[in-house]
Amino acid sequence: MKEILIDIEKCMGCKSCEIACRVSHSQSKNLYTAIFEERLPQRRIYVEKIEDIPVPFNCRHCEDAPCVIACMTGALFKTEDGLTMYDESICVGCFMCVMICPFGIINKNRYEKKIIKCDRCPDREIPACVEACPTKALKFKEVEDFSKEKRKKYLTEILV
Amino acid sequence: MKRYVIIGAGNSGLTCAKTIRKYDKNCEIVMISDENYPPYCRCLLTYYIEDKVDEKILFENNKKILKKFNINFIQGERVEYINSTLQKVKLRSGKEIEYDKLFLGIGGTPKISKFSNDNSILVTTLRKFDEAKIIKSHFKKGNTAVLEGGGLVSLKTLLALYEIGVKIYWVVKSPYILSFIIDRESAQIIEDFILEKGINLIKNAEIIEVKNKIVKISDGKEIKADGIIIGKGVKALQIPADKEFLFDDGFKVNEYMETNIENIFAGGDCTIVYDIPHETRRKVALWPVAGEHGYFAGLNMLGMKRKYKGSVQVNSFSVFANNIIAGGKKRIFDDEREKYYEVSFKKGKVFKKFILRRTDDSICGYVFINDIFKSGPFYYEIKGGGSYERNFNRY
Repeated sequence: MKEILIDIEKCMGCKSCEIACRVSHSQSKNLYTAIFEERLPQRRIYVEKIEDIPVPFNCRHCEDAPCVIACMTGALFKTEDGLTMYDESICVGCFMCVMICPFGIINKNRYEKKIIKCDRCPDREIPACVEACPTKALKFKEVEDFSKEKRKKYLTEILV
Repeated sequence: MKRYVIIGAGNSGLTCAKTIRKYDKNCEIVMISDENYPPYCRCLLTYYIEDKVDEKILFENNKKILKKFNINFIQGERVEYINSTLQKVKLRSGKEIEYDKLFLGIGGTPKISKFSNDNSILVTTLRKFDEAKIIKSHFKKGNTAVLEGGGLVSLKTLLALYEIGVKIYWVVKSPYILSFIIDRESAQIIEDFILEKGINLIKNAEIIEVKNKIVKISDGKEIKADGIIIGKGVKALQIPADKEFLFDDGFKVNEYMETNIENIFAGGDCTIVYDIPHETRRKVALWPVAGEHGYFAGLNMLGMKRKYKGSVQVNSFSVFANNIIAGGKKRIFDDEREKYYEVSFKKGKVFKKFILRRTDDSICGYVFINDIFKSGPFYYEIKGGGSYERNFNRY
């Protein structure tokens, strides 16, 4: 199961991921036409500054997700793959999930009483934010591979 | 094969069952509910009244969960007696069920106010689906309803009835609405949202009499009404057992969510837990908090020994187009001024307020009105005793 993983050291805070996320959730899927759409697309990833270090925040698809526990209708649910997905049709807009998300990444839909959250770009092979990241700070990998890479890097640094 | 018995089909019971099934695929899970329906969310009942949610949304998802998590669900049965020595529960029908671990998520029953009533109009509370059905069929456009109690149930019922076109009088005993949930300043803002829509708010008053469809209020007003809905909070339920439970308006549980009787756990509206920001033990009767209780109880019933630090009161609600999220301690009493201070800012319709401790500037409460985004982390800041400074740049 691949996850969106973040190499914080590489993030420059360019916000390319934010733009790519917006475009990928627009009607036209094109930056130049997306800005003229009646309903402006909203992003699902937020680059924040934590003590002057830029960090991208997105849905971590928590294992025992608090938003799923808090959801009244079951609009937020876990899939077999462990993803936290959202069924807009049964959401009543109580915003319990906004209240309880530990990362503060569930946002209100600007146009209706619904929420906006990362859906891992279901119609793409690689999520838009990962594809757009110029420094490869965002990676779409197996957790095992990611930590292996980290270990390798650490060992090279102390051995060489 | 181990058998886990869960009494109550609220969020604590359901989350407890789901947690147990996640880690133990082979055990037997029995869930007992005294209502004749599949598990449902009580917070959705007001949405049901105003037709935003139908029975399908209310029940279908939980029916699927019962099947997916292989939960043996017994509905319409009340547990009459717990025999903790023989590890058995006795149902009203006489049937006995043995358990290895027992979870009590039995919730509470609404408190009722005492006024003289000649039964000329409908007087009800709103906690169960049956009551929601009665309210839905009783009130029609142009009717008049009197709501008593200044809590969230009354507010949500008010909003639902307003959508139907019912004329509303809201009678509140305290000097401002939602006094258990928010502070006076924030309540004032919310009161304005309500008054704008032409709802009659009567504060510092209570219902004293109902006679010939006339509701008499303590401030002298007389209202011709079609029904009264009471929302004055809940009283925890109790089940008789062979040993005595430590009970004081709720089962007293330890940090593992276990009651004083071995192998019996409790969670949700029927428990007394540690309230972190208020630094006291009390009942925190809320939907998401009940889920947390169920989750930790589930892990401990499996023998994982996970400590539950305590609960934080946290609410999310909307008043017309305004969204409000409030958590932790929101009021500073006069004798607490040396210990706490508050920071607030208002810009247009947006209002934010934080309550902080003087000793280390750590946060212990917040109110967000109309800009609720990124309020989630504050809930965990309060739980973990984190600082306001660290998160401030993000907000």
